[in-house]
Amino acid sequence: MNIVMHKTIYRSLRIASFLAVNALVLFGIGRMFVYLNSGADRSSIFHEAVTHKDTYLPNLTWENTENPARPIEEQALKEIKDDYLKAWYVRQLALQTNDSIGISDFYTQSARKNITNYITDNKAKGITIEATTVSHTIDLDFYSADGQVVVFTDRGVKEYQQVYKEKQLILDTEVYATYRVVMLLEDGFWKIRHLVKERYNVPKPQFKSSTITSVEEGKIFVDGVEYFIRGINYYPKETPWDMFGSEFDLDIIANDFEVIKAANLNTIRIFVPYLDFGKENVNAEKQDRLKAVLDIAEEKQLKVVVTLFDFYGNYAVQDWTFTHRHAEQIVTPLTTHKAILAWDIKNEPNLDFDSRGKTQVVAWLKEMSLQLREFDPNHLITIGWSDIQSAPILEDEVDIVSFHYYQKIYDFEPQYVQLQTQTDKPIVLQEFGVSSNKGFWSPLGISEEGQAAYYKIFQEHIQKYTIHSMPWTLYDFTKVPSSVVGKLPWRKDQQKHFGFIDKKGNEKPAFQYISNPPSP
Amino acid sequence: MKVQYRHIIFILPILLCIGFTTFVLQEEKAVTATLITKPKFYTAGEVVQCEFLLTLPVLTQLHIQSAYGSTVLFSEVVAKEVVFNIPRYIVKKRGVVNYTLFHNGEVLDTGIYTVHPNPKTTLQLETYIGPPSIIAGGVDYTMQVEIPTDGFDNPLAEETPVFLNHQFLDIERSEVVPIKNMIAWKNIYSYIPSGRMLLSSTVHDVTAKEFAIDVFAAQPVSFQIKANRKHHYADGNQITELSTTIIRDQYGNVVTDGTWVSFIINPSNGMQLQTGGTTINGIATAKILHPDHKEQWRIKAFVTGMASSAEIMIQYRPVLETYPVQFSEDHRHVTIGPILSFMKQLIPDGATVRLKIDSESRASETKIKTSNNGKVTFVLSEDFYPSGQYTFTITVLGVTQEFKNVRL
Repeated sequence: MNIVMHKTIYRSLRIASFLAVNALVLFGIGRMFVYLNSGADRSSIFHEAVTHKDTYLPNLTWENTENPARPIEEQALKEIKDDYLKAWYVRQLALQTNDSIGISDFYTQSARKNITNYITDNKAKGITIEATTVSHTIDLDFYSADGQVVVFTDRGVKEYQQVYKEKQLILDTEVYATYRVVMLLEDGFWKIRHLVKERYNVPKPQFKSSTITSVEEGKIFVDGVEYFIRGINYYPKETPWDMFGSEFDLDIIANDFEVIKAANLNTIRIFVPYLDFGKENVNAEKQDRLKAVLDIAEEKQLKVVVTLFDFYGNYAVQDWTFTHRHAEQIVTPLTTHKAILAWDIKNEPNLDFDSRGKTQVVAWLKEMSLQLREFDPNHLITIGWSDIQSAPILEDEVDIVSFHYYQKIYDFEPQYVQLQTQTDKPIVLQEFGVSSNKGFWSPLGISEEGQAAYYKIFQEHIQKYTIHSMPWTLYDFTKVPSSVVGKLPWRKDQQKHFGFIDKKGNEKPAFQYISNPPSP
Repeated sequence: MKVQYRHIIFILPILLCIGFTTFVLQEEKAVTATLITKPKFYTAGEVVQCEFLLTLPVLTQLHIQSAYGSTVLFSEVVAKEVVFNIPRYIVKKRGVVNYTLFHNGEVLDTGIYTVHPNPKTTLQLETYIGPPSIIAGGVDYTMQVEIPTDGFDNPLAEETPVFLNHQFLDIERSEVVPIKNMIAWKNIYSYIPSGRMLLSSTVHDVTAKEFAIDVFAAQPVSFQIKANRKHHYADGNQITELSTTIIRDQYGNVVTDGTWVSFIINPSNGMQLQTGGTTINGIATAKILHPDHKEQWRIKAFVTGMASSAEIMIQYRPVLETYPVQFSEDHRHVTIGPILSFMKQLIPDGATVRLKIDSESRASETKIKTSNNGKVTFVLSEDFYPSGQYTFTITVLGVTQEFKNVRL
């Protein structure tokens, strides 16, 4: 019995060890295959990651390509531009991650150790730096006869940096400099050989005064005539938050503009979503639609406040140049459009302060205001802050101070008086209103009569202080996308009842208080 | 009034509050900084310190930004006087350095200092020369680009004189070019002769290594050709050698070895033959087999797209007038030969003999054989050539004999 037991155990042990040895051998062979297949991806030899993707899009202009050595070809200019910008990009990436990946593609062997010195030092100190440049203006100094050496001067480069220690922002700074650059063509890449920073005296920004729209002594002027905003925020009834989407219908919009005009209003506010318009490659079709809407507005003698970057929320330094190219493409074709009153850089950006950091958001807005002025000197600039407390932020940068008011109505007056003391610029109450959402989701909510009463009181404030105003919004909506207020049905329901015209197209009692508003 | 405990209980917190409040307010208000360090210009490699005097002892940080990157230096002690030692890797590099002194994210002072290259270190010269070969005659040029650097790999200051030297045959020249835009450069034009040019450069006492540039002859100009052959007979066996005179450019330089010369041969039948060769010491030779029949060739040579020769004409005389043809009794064995060449010697093996067979009942057919010991025999088998009337046309080295109505 005992012996039989032992035999069984012995046999099972033998089988088990046989299986184990086999498993180990197979595992070993497997590991060997894995090892042999590891290492650099073969496609990496083409440097796809850095060479074929738009990673960095600051504006680069060749101011002067004449040089004493050799006339330069368009193709060479393009290649030098691409590689020079990528050199900036990989260096910024290196300082952001403290990893020198990609540096060897765009810096020669002697130059790259200057960067690795910084990386080593910063890594030890826990410092990371997020940086971007905004524009490059290049004078070509020299292009060698054999096309292998190029020397140029990059004048007045503005570099914005956010400095982090252990992931905490400790400083944000802006530096202007001129760079003298020597690049060599090596292995098909233009690589930086020498980079010498020189002093650049920042010129005082000179903004051209425009006759189309302007602000003088706290008043808005259009074509030289003082302009008082009696406006409204506008989305078509059926396509709120998707005005330029697949259901775009110019006839509906034209009719709505007729309604707005008939109500004796003179201004509308519309929204250009960043993502839907194609980010840094603006969708031509959407752009045409925007132009068509503006043309209709001009025809109906309405002025338009165009809010850019709707639903944008990144603000990261690495994303700046993409947003600049977006703004450039949207704004540049419309610089002389008569219907536009102002560009509203971003709707309620202060709501992103908590998640993205106030410094980061404000820095982005500030730079964007400068960019917009460069693209379009003719129209005004504003930022639609979500509350009156935020309104003074970047007051110097905007032409019009805009804020939204959804707080208690009896708090309005003192706060408005306070804001008046903080700025000399025109103040626009860019959004305000109340939802008449009394019903299933909000049994204690405000009725349509209550909404009317609210506007009645607000109208008195507006009259008393002659406030430029644009209530939210023309229509009640049947559907509200979740991206606007979230998925909760009671919040969506609230957002559906801000209008002056209900879902059936009837004027709500409040309509009388927005139509024929007082003029100063 | 007698001081009671309850008074103290009331007063103490108030005093404490006042005390702390004042302290906090003072700090927030008052921190400002002044730079004590005076120099604004340094030489690469020098020790650079930035010393600030603060109005209050606080911890501060210094953000440094140079051409290649940025970093932050942290003050280590809470003091009114703070000294930052700029890291060596930063002070070694030429250019402007921006600094920003800050405390709690608030900027206290900003400024710049400039580092100049250090010519007292061991200098380096980086030379870029291109193109590496140019054409003689004084029109074409190569470009010599020097990027002189100091021991820290900084481009040297503008206006630093750089000597650019070159040697060509007996000529040795040197020119001083001041550095402009970080480089010194010069176009070096070729001279009339071809040959090899050596280039070098010197800055201060440092000399770069030598570089060589080949100066090749310019485009060739017209040349002559000649044909060289063992005899004038069209034997289809010997080789005619075609050769050029020495091909030169307009300055008399012999063209580069390896220049391809094409010889185009126009025979009298309107076809075209071609042969070619590359030049050695300016002479290109090419070979072509003699024709196998009486022929007259017009020959012209080209260096494609550049130059050509005058046309020459050569004649090939036939090697034979006639030859014997013998038929067997049944006429099915046709023996041609002995074929005798110009000295009545047997023609060398391999002469082509054509037999064209025509009859009314079938399509024309040509049989080809090559001679062996001066003879060729065609066998016309009964299986292929049924009995009947045939016409035979025999061609050997351009001489044709016809035999009509031969009965097989």
